Amino acid sequence: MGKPENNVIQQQSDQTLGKRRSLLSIIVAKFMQNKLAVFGLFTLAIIITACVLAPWIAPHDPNFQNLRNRLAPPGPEFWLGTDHLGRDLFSRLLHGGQVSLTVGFVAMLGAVSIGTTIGAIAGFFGGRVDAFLMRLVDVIISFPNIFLLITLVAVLEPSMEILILVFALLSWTGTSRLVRGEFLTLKNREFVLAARTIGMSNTRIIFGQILPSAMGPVIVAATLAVGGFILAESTLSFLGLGIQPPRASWGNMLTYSQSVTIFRTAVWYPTFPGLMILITVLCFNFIGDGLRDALDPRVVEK
Amino acid sequence: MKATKSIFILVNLIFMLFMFLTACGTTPEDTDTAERGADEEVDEPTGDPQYGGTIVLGTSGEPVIFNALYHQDSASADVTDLIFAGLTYTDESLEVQPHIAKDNAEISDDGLEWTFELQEGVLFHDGEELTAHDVVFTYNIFLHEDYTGPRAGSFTSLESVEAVDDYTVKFTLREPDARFHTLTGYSILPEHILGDVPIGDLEDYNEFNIENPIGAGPFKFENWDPGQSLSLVAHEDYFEGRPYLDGVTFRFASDSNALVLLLETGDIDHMIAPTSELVAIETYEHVNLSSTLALRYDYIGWNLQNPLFEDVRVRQALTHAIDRQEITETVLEGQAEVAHAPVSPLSWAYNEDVARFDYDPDRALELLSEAGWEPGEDGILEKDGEKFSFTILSNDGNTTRRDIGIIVQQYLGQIGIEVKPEQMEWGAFLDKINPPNYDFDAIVLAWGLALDPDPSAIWHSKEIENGLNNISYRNDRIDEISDINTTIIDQDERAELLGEAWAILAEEQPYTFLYYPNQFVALNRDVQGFTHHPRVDMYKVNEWWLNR
Amino acid sequence: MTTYIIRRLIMMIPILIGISILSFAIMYAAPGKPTVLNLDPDISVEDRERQMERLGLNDPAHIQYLRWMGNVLQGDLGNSFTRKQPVTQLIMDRLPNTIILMVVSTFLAVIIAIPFGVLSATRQYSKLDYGVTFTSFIGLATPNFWLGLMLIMVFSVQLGWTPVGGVSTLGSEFNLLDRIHHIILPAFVLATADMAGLTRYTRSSMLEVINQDYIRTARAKGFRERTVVYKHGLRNGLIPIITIFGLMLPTFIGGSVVVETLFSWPGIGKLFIDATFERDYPVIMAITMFAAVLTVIGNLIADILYAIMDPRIEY
Repeated sequence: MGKPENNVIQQQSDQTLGKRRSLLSIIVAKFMQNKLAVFGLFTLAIIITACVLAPWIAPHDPNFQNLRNRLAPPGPEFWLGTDHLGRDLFSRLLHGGQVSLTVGFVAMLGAVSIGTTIGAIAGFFGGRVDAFLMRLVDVIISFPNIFLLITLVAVLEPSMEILILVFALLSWTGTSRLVRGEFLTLKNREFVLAARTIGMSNTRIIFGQILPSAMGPVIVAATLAVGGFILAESTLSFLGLGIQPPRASWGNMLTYSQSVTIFRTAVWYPTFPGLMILITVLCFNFIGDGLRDALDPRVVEK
Repeated sequence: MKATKSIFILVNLIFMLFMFLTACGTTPEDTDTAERGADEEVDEPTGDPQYGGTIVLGTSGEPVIFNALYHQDSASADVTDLIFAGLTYTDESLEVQPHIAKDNAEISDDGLEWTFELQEGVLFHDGEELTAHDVVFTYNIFLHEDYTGPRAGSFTSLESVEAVDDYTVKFTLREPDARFHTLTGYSILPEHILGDVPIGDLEDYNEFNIENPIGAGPFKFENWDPGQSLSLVAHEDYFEGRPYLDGVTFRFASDSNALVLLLETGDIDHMIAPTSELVAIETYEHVNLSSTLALRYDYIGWNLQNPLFEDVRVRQALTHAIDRQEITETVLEGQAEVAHAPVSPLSWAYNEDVARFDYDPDRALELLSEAGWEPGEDGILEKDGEKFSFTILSNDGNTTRRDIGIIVQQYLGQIGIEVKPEQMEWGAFLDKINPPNYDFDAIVLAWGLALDPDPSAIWHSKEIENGLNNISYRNDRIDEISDINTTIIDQDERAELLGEAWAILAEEQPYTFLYYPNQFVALNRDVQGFTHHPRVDMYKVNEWWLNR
Repeated sequence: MTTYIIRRLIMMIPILIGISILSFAIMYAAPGKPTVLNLDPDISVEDRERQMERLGLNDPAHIQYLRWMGNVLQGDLGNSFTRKQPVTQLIMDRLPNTIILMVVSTFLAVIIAIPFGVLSATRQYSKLDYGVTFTSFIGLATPNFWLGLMLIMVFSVQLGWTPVGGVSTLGSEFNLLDRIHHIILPAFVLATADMAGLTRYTRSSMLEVINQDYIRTARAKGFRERTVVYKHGLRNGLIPIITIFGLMLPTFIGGSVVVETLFSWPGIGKLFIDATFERDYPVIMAITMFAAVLTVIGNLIADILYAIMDPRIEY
């Protein structure tokens, strides 16, 4: 390996990096023009900060019960009222947000890493490896997801970790197809061929060269997935398979809307977690949409 | 353009209307409830029973099979109770009373021969008469080696059953068995229809069991629309007289929330009301609530295989540390009595005079200290370097018991015991706690008590290995009482012996007995003649009538 | 084309076998056995043991699987453990309800989503576009069961316009109006998420087409705007949307679990979830396989439709 050649590549990378930087500023500029996306980002930042800081912000212990003060309406002591065991709803909402957001983010990271790796391998190597991996994707796609989800969660104990694991294991197929597609088109581009001729290892080519160029659509899908997982957790909670008490999650707090008594006498109780889910997922969708437009060169501005 | 704009406005309007109505619907309307409160003072309209009308019963469980010899679920039992009739029934004070039989069993002095005289003229729905031969046919199924149902174990003491004549039937027992009283109430099946079906095939004989069950009960099977409804019509020739109602329809809904809404809209006339929805149901003008103590108790079971719970003082301390009075007054809306022993106050075998461990955290700490548990640096009790920390398990389907696990965490936390509440899905839960796993520290669960108070199935040490004594409780005197109590036919004598067992169990606290809950039935005001039975949902429905 | 379809159909076989083995294994590994789900002190240990034997649950897992497979190949899905009826009949009793719900909700989704999607694309950045976009985002972000509960509270309980649940009025003869009355709310709830998604897809798909050269050309030639949009744009804009339908098929059954529970709608989603909790193996297997077949076929249909709609694709 001659040094000069390496330098050539280095230069080229610097150039692409430079291009990327300017590209990044274009993307940011485009994104900032989308008012809904910016609004989403801003709101989400507030929500996430509040939830992360829950241990310091929350006015009460989220698990402290006062059985004599059940379903108290919102007031100066309990800002959003209390739940059916007399626990402070606002504190539970913040702590529950931690759980819901963790489920969303970690499951997304899991699904995206699995999907990206498999998609990259399939797209890069092609041939038999590709055929095998894509059949695997077919089987998983053909597997009736919600049924597997119900069975798995019912079988294993419905803890947060299991939920994240199941979500991640069932949701990577879309990403893998996306990444594979990008790889199929990108792997014959000049910069990849150049990297190959200087004997760069496959791993480095995949992760160092092609992947960064293929990440656009993946980032969009990932953003939308976080919201999707938060919704999915609430649906599982409705079926009694979500995060289990005493740990609060927005999903399991929302299930109390099923009680007619609570609906009639303490409607704020399920409404707040419901709104939190709605707003959070909405923000993720706004951001995802904004990113899609910003990252898509075809979208022309008017 | 105009069209789209107006559609857009319309959509917006609907959305606003929706928000508005949600807001209205959820604001507590004080004036309205006040009026309702006044309404409840007005006496129910009463008068002479009248014939006619169909009542709609709401239920969340769908029946499986209309044959009491094979069903295991309460939804099926509710339907078969209406279609079939037995020799006897258990009344609302849990006494066995004659039904098809003219009188209670005539029992020979050695307690081995039980003879029943049957009423004449009892007709099946197809017009055939029910005779002693049908009774013999039915009970012989339990004894048959090909019988596939779940009830053979109940009849181990029965040696034979024979028809002395058309209206006299004689049961011969191997040994005296006081429990046999409650076994004489089984639905009598028609021999003229099922006589030729091999016993081994009877469980799958859907032409009878599902499509066309024929009994001698007050209502005839008419139609079953799976997932939606099941209808029964009055049996004109019912031997106690035609029921007042023309028919009974079961309406299936997915959960109690859906049922409460159906009750509110008047789509159903009757439902078993969950305690958590009483507040809502009480506001319905057209609905009456009936309550009675249920034949059951809820408890926390301590796994005695776990060294933590070995010491009786520790178990007593745990009970002292939990304010059961507060739990019943709050979570159970005051609709429960604190329990002290594994027997219902409704039972003739109830013993009031047992040890009580009321809420007293100081006493709890004293007992724990006697047992060697002292607070460690972090405030958690320690003994020999080990922390007092355990998991309390409940099933996720039952919100009350789930909440109790969470509440107990706080109570015990206050005296320095670390508790982790956990929930599991019912099937997985049972698998974990039952033999051969016994994989739990403590469980929150309930027993629906059998009509007979025999303690063997739950407390006998022989039930540890494979039965329901999954907390592994062992006491020689309890084993002894379990073995002999069923051979004592005299009820008072038996009650005294069982009273001793309850006192031992209350003192030893293998369970923390939580409470006896009330059970509620929500009924449309038009329904009259209802009798609330602590165990049987469909009780004397032939006496119900509609004031419409 | 035919050979392509045949090849795809043949490929379904190993996929389905794989799924059946996987689901059987998961189900079998699940803690809890069908007959011990009842903690009834009146049922003896011997009685339980006899029932295990009768249902063949004492055999090793692979024997149970092969026996199940053998029966399925002979067209016998077995008897439900807890409901004592043939699985085929249980499914046939409930399947029509699920299908009707699916069809009506798809119809609702399409007739609402496509026009709004197209309008919103042709009037990009108009008030209508923002309204439609915002509403679809809300639709996508609302937990389905919460929306359902709210709608029941408003339309069924407060206003009394629609029934609280069920397929038809109790004891009534078949009556189309009555059926529509019952289905409208559950179908709408089931349709929301798809409706919102479909609107978004339609919009972006149409936007892409509208900005393409041949549309511009058509416009330049002086064709009327409507002709341009509907004749040239719509046809091409719809291609990607149609493929979505195929992929939507299985999610409908999944989504129907929630809606069927909310509206006491006796369909197979509800049956499945009950069966899971009861460990009713034959029912679980039958419905899982049914859904898997539907998914595979859905994917295939999507691909075929895609091929038909877009002549550029070769096989």
